Amino acid sequence: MLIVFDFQSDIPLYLQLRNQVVVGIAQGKLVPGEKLPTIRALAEESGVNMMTISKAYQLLKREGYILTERRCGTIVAPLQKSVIEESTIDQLRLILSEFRVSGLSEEDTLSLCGELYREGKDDA
Amino acid sequence: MTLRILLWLSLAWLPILMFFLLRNDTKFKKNIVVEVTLPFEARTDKDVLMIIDRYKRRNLWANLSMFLVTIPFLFFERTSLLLTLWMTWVLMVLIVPLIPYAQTNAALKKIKIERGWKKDEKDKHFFDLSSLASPKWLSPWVFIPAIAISFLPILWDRDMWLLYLTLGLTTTFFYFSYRYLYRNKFEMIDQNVRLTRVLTQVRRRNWGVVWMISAYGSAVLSLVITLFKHQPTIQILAIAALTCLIIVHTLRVEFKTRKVQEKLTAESGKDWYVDYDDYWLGGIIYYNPNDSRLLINSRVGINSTINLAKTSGKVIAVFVALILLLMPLTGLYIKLLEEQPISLELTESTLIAHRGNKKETLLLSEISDAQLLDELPERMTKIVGNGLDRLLSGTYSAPGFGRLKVSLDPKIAPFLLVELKDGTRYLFGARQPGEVEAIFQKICNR
Repeated sequence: MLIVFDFQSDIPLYLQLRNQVVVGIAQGKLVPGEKLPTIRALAEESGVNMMTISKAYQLLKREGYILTERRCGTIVAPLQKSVIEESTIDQLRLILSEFRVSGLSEEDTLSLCGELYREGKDDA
Repeated sequence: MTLRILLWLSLAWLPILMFFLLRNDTKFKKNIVVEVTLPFEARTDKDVLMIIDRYKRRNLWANLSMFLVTIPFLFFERTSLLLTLWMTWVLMVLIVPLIPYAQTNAALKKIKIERGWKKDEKDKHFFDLSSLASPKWLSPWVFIPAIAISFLPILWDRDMWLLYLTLGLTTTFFYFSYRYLYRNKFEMIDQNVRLTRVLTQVRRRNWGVVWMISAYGSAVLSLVITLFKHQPTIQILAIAALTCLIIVHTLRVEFKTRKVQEKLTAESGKDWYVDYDDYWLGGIIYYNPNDSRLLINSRVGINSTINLAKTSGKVIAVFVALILLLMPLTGLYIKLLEEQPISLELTESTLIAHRGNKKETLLLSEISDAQLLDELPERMTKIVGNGLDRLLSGTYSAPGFGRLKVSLDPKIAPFLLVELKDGTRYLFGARQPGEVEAIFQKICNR
């Protein structure tokens, strides 16, 4: 799975990594049980500080996307149904409001959402 | 003449190496040619090919002229002048061929923009999560026998302990270089994970081979020095042969790696590919403020380089530049050493050997024996110190004489051999004719 670090982006690097891993899991590019590289290997590869990578891994672990096993190291956690946090719903509300303000119809918005939701799933 | 030929043989091949290394950069490897990343279609582009052809000719002329310049060096007699010339020349060999290289790099980057091949991906770093497996390093036990062999002669040849210690530490350094001078980065050129893995494995394996050969070469060198300690000619020839072998093998591995990189990526560059040209200034200097690492793998071959955007990188670069710029002064330094006054002085109770502003003072009451030698002891070997045309100083050893502390001009005989009651031996000379004889006479009279 291709990861991109954009050093000019306003999004912090640890969040860029976290977001891309989440998208990767959702799209089936990272499957449950798949081993993730060590923090050191990722830092060495990307030239990014180990603390940054560690922060992203800790966040992913806290959110339940990955878990650390003594034998295998860090792996992708099994998919589980969990309650969507209020803050995530707020973010979605904001994005949908932006769509409405920019003139996108409900039908087009749902169609776009469906497309994005299924992205990668068809290939997986 | 021997020194001139030796110097010529050990250095004159540098432009030949530069020629082949730089010429090799004109072949597309990992989508890169003369350190510029180009798409597959560029390989048949008329203008690109013209620029590359022009560079090949300029590379040939730059290196050929540097090589031809060395021929008159065979006729310079003064060592100090010769060394100044050689060191200036080495500096030029490292700079001159890079001028057409940097110009070609700029021309190719220009054409890359004109053709719309330049990507808007500055400050972006790509890597494939699925290819990042933990590396497998060679066990330290592979290097330990070489390290042990390098140190071993210290046990039976205490005279040259410093040399064996240096060689032992060098071999140890080779292990640490193998382990820590390599940036553990994957050789990603596109989204082909298998290709990334194979390219990475090839590079990592050959990196290990180079350091392993160097470590065992250094170990054999240590043995050769101890075995032929009293046969300087055989020793020099063996050292030269071994050094050649290590250099040739290292270069072979470098070119072999490049060949594999060329073959494996012969068809790439058709779809998406990585392009980090913006971080390679002139194709020579890596400058990436987004990269927290100091050590960087060169894009082709197996070499490593440094990130000049880091403060430590800048410090290292300035240090190396200073060493290179000071190299031509070596000859001047040697000239000053060779012209140092060497003299002997006898006072009421002491014998003083002067060399420049250094002096060795011996109490006359401690001297047990003094002899006048018309020539230097045969097969005298330097342990530590200077061994120049007009100056021998430091500690030497010679069969039948053991260890000798020396301060003399080998061209001006006779020499004064002095032995103290504690067994320490000194061999002195003086530049002023007749001075040694006079001092010897006075010592005898007392």
